[in-house]
Amino acid sequence: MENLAFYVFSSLAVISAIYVVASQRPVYGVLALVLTMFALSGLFVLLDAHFLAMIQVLIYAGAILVLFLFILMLLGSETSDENGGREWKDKLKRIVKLVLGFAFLSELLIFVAGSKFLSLSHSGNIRGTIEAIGKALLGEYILPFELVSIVLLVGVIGVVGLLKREKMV
Amino acid sequence: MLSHYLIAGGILFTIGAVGVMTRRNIIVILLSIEIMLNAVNLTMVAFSKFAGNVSGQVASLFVIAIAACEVAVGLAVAVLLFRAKNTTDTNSFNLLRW
Repeated sequence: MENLAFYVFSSLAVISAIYVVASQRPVYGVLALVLTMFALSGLFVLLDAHFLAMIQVLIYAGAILVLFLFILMLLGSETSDENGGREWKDKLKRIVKLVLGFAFLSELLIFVAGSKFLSLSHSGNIRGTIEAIGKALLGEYILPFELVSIVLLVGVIGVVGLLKREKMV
Repeated sequence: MLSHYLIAGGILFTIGAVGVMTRRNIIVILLSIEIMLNAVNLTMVAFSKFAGNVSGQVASLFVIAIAACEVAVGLAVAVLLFRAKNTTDTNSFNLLRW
């Protein structure tokens, strides 16, 4: 049962991710990425990371991708002009990049197949509940937690500073 | 079972990397970066489960926070580039070339 759920969710994630990369219109890509995020949150549930699964749906599908959609609507239909794949040179470039990607993937797979940490198994039952995550976050990882909040503050100030500028170039 | 999750994460990361390399729309490049970040998240959560330790989930929470920040700044830069050139094709941006 768990195996079946894993294969369903992971194939859903991979197929929709391929659609994101391959789709000609960015709006469809964003919508497919929402599907990827939901599939990944299903995988997180299978891995007993319940809090993270919830955060994945809330933050990614709910906030980040809505921001993407908002910006796409703001920029209008000008964003879908790609003049690729006409000349043979463009096609050659694209094929070279695909080959690079497959080389990277096969290297990753060889590394995974030959690694020692595959002998790790369930030691105890770790549950990614809010309690466990909160204790780790506010105990052991309190300093990185505060630093992340500073990074978020700097990001907000940076965005406001970037967009307040009247003219560029 | 751990290897299954690692392979799924590797495939997702490769899809994102190929997207960053092949696409020329700046929005789609940002989406591909999100795919790569999520592949790494999946790997870390899988390790967290199979090592019996909650640290991987905390690390992937940090990744989500930084990703939110990165998306905000990246989309702001995309809007600025669109204002400057009225397109989001990365081939038409050579402001930093020389």
